Amino acid sequence: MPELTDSRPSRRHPIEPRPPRGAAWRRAAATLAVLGALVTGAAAPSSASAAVSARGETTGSVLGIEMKVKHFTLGNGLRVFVLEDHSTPMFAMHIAYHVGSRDEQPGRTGFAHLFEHMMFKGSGSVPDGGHFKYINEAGGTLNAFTTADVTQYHEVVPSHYLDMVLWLESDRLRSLAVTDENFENQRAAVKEEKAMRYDNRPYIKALRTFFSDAWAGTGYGHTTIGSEEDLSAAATSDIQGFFDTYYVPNNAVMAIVGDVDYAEVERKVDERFGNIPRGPDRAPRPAIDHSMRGPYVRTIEDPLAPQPLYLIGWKTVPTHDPDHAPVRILMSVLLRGDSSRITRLLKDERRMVVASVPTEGIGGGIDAGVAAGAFVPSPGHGFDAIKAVVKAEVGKVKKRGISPKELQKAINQLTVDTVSDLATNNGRARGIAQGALFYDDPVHALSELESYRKVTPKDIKRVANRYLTDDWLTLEIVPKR
Amino acid sequence: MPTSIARPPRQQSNALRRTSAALAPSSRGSIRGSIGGVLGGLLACSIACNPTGETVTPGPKPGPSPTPTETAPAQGRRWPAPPPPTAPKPVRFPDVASFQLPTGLTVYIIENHEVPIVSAQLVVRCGTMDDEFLAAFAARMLGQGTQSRTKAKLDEAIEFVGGSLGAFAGTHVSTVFAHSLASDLKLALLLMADEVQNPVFPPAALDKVKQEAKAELRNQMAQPGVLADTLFNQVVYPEGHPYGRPAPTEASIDAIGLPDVRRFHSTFYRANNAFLLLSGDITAEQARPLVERAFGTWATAELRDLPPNPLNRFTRYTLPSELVVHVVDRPDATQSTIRVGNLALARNHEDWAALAVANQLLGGGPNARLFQDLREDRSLTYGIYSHVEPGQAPGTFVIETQTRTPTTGAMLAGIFGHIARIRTEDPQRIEFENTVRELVGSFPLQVETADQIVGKVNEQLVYGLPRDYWRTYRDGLAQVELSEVRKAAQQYIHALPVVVVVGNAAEVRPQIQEVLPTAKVIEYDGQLRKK
Repeated sequence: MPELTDSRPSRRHPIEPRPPRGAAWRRAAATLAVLGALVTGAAAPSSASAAVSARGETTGSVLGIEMKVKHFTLGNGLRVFVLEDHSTPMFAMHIAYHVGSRDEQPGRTGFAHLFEHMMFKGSGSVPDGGHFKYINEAGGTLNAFTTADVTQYHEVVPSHYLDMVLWLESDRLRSLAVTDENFENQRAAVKEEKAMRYDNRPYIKALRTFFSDAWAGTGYGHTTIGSEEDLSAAATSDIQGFFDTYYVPNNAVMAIVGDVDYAEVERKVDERFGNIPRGPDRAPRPAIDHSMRGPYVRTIEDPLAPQPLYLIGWKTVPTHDPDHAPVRILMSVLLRGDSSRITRLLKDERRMVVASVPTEGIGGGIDAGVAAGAFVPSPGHGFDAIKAVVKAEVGKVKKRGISPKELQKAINQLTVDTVSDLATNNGRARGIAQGALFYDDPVHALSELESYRKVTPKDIKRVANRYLTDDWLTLEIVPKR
Repeated sequence: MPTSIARPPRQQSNALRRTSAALAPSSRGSIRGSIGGVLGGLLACSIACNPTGETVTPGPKPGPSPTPTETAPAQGRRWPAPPPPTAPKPVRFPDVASFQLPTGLTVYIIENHEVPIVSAQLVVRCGTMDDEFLAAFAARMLGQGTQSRTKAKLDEAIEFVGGSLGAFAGTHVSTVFAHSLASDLKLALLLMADEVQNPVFPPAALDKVKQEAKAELRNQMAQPGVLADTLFNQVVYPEGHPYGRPAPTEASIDAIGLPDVRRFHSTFYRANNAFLLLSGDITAEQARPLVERAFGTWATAELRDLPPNPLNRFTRYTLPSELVVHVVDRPDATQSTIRVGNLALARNHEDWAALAVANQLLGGGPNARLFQDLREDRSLTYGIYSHVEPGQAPGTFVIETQTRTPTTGAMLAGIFGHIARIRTEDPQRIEFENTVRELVGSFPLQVETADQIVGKVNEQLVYGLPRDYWRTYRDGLAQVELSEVRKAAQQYIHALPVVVVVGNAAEVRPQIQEVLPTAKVIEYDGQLRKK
């Protein structure tokens, strides 16, 4: 009977970080052998058409999960990434367009998301609602989402429906059909979505205000759902310009993961998408001004809130910044889990809060980091007392840093997160598409793990002093009675 | 209606919805989960979501439903058919290995070696049906310390390896779960076993856990969907039925005593009253020594000491004799949250498949009639779905939606119209076939991950389904005849349903009286007290 911990000796990293103390630590160090991502240019199948270029392969490997992603680019600029996995007869497809709410014009907030809805209202050969009908009836699922940075469409279907999925996605990219009636219908649907998911739920409005304020004056300074008046002001004529600017093959990345054959995908994608004309290259996004850090203090009354909610945060760095990894680990050490520094104190030892959670990555975007913690106080505990505890704990890290064991714990947590995300075809396809689009790295999820592994306790102390300054962003949401 | 339900098996899948609505201490129902959900919701807008906030898919236009192999008439023009599918590949429900320890603990193993992750679920046959508060608190208190480990020590040990360990009580069963890298399974199982076998239930922790439970309760009671579900079940089920308990109060949480929690734990948390599901990057050979070491000495129960299944006390269920609309008044609400439904059947009833098809056709997804008509054509809502709630005892059929306050009447009229139609008309052949194909075709998507398979195995064990249930599941659906849809609807989708509306009472009351003139209206306040 093999011992579990010894079952994969070849995956151990040759250099284990720091002297171990205790069996659990040793085991984790062994399991967390992260092998680096390596990029190789590989020969592609020769049968493919001349319109297909820039073939290659990127392999990432961590803990025995290998991501062997092949890619090609069509003559019109569409980048396609394929990862074969034949364990279940299904596959996931993501197509990401490099446009989000930060690209919206003043007075047209919410338009990127409203446009996403229009992509389901029919095109040259597909009737209104056809995407849902055809995919659902095949037993598949589909959806789309819009963030500040990206608009992404995805399907998960049994593998024998590859042709249909490619047909559906290529048809709307080629020939989206827009009518006034459809546009009105979706404007109403979006307003309904706003009413149900944003306006009728506690805390949401206040949190949106908080994060928008933090980035006022930049593309992140408004919400993705947009304002009621801007949604009302949007016109059918705005659609075509947006479509021509952003919905072009050279502004998109496609990822297909699952029970597919690479050569067949290359041939069929070329057939369906190859003759869609290239569009203009999109203009670079304006730089985000990171100079304004704070302080920001706000109290908002919320008639829907059943109890108070406090937020304490700092502006940090974009996700591509080298300091992103240490900042993320720092917030983990401070707030993630009942054994983290601040949560343990506030929740179990002093019983000042009933919940304490990190909100890393929330509210910003790839170019605008906010690190924050959210706290639900126990009855009778005010914001000032909680702030004092947070300040003291942050102060300790600034002065003395963290232990190697705390660092290893945070890395272990991030590792399990990543591995869990990669358990589904859909998770892998989402990650590959975004990795390729934002970082030119389809195995970014694994590369990111590699960057966490390189963080040292010294880095943590440095970023704590650099970013967790006295320029706090604080929000106090109080129930309105 | 079933006559009697044996105690074992008395399990329930944690993937299923039935938990005590307002006191569900699962990670999803926890305050941490709900705050995380709120924050996560800020990030992205998506094309569709169901009322619980999970993303799902909306649907196409209604009318005669084309199949992908035909030319589809829609919007007055003819559309080309989509490319046909290639040959389907076989889907096989994976093998489930099992072994039993001498103590009676049965272990099931579902292998999936794609990623080096393992999940463990220890399913104990006791739940909120036995005692709502004691079941919930026994589960919550497990992690508060053991004879050899403080809570801080437990937290540090599992969090250090990036794993998770927790427990929650569902209606039929309580589940202790762990998730970790495969190489840390030994640690996870030892910690889990320690919590289950040697908890100390420290008195000081009880007060803290009560504070947390009360904060969660306040959050839950602020959600119109929770209020609607709680009241709906309370009205549908006979008084005292475990599926239809009234909402907990802060006073009822305060009244929980530690000796009772200890007694509950000691009665039910026994090796032969539980089973363990292991899934992921693990084999039976690897699992056996780990399980033996962790659980080998877990005490067993004398079968006569296990209380009978409390659902057996309910042998008769009555249906309403008049139409009553139960209105929960939330004067500030801009939307009405609606439930319409009735008592239906137990999960292991032979009519389950036929009702599943009827439900799918009426409201099971975005292609269904309710969504197509009331969302797509009439823009009355962002989403409307129906489902059949599984249970060891009869579950419910329920339609759920939200609509703006002024369109509450129109929505109710629309729902009643669709109920009448499915009860009186056979569906068109093509609509029926598309529905069955959708249900059958989605199966590969339901068995992709180890966690999904575990959910299915658990469901089979919980509800006493046949051993080969998932192997033959698609055949069972495919065998449903068109004529059975109307028959199932007549029997399980009632013309005289229970209706719950959570919203602005002053504005919805006249609308209800207009569209449902025979209905009696009963009003409640925001704490579900009758006005």
